[in-house]
Amino acid sequence: MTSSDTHTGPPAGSIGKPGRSRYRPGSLEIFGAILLVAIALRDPLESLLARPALQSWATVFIAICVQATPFLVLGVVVSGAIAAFVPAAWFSRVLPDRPVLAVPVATACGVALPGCECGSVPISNRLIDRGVRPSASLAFMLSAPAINPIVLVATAVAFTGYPSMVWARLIAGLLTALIVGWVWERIGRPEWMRPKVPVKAEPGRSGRRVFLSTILGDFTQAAGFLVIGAAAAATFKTIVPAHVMEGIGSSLLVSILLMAGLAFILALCSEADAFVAASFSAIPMVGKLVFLTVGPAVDVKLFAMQAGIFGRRFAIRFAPLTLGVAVAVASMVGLIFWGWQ
Amino acid sequence: MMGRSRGPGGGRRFGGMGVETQGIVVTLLGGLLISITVSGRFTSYVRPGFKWLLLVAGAILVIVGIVSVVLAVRADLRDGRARKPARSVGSVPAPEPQQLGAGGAHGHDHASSRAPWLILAPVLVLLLVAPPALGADAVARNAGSQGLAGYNTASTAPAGPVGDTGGKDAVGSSGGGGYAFNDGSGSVYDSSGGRRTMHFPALQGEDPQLGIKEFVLRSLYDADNSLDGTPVTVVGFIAPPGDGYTGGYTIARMVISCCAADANPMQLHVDGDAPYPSNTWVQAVVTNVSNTATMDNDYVPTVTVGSLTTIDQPDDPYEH
Repeated sequence: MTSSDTHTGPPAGSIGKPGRSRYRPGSLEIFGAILLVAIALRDPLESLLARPALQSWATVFIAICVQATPFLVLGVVVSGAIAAFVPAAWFSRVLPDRPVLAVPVATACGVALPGCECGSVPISNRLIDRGVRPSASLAFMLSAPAINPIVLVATAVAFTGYPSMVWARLIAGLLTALIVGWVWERIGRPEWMRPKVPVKAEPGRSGRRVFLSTILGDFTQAAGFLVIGAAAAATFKTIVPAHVMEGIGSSLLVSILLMAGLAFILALCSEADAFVAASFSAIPMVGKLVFLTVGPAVDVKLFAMQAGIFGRRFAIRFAPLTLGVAVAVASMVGLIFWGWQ
Repeated sequence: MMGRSRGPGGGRRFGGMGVETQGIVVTLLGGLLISITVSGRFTSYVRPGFKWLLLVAGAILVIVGIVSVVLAVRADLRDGRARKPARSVGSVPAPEPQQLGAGGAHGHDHASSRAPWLILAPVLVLLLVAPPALGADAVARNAGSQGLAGYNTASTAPAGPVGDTGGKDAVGSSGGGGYAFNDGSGSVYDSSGGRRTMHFPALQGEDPQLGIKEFVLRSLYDADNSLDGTPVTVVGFIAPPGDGYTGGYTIARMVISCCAADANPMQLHVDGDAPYPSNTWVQAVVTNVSNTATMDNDYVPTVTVGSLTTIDQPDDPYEH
């Protein structure tokens, strides 16, 4: 300890100057060090990523990050606006007090958010912050990416020959969000969620400041976990052979399970998944509906983001619940629409 | 509020990312999004329609990043000024204003998370390595039966193909529209053994340009067999021969609907040795060899090559 640290006393212990006496690198130094190391290792890195398999992996990894970022930005801007400009009291006025009714209202609100699933995770987190019941916030999180207008139009374009797919997707998405919301109302425990540092309404901070710092904080947090999900999805895309979905069209059960698994590991954007589902032509319609219902609700990318933002204890309970409900609902709706064909 | 240790970057806990650094990383990411969009490199990753989305998102990130850094630095300077007199007088009475400054300017709920560091992974990969568009490796990796993979062209092609017979067949077989042949059999033949067909617009001019996806569709399904004996121009890259072929090579193109994560290859087979190494982009005048695409070779049709020239990678390396 140096002489500058002589002013002992617990409250002042780690403020300002003492940091210099026992050196701990701040994040700017770490950032600089990472950049330097990366530049120094550029050649080895380049030759590593020049191997064909790793090159394909890197391209898919970057593609998922690039493709998801605009939607994530939209999501955090909405989240920032909620934090900064919508008073918490507004939500309690708009949403019914009874959870049985709050969940369907929140589910219906999902229709209005023209984004994909990455954006709705930070928004849902912000809603919980603002005092909305977790069950209703989560129902909104599930319904927004599955049933918003852009997604439904994309589905209609991809399934030109089967307009019934749009209705089936809408119904299955709504039902999944509703059921998961209601179930969570019964079984969900607040302690599963990561305890939040309460955002105090500091009188000194203007709305614009809160807006800005919420966007920055939410974006860096969610994008970090998006990167994990993108890496996992790129890995699966690189190692799972495309032939896996051929020649199983006859077995409905196998195709449902396969499509649920693929939706989880491929982690496609909900605005694009209809085109991919449509190209799985060996798969019966029910299987495709399962793909389109599971994908926006739960996939490897969302799991990573939810674990990061809501906490791991939440994610390991919420993901299986959502997966089970989505598969069951989509299979039922699909069978009602198309039967066993 | 008390006892926060704030290094120069403002990180509260070791490994957490401070607001200044978060701002810099976000600015960097936004700048990269804008730069790959303006330079056209973004088409290696997503479809061209993403252009404006990426520009707007990149601009928002840059603005948020820069403003956050400026505000954080200004707050630090204010803290520094508040600290100065304290240092000269002696340390004991000083802490009060420092704490206020620290808590007020940086009351931020994410400053202790380590997750933001991961954003550096795609940033560095883009900055240092810049992965190219998917090529021959992805063709081999993602190839499936072409009889299954792309006949929606008939409903979405801009030329607006005549859909009368196609539509009728579709209604008759399994419900109608662009996905008419979707009965799960994975064959271009229906249950009675007849070949499924649809109609395409007539080819115009000499050596007309065709996408490889449309070439494959015409070769498999065209009721008028418009490709027979008609040389057409295709653009693709050289790749090793597909499953079911032992020799020769492939002229291939990846087809994406949103981003490279949903890419599927479309291939044309050519007999003989490949004139260039894999991943060389070529423009070729090719003629379809009738009835060469079968279930055993994943419906990859064989073509004869009239002429073949190397070209630069097209602005959009993918078909859609």
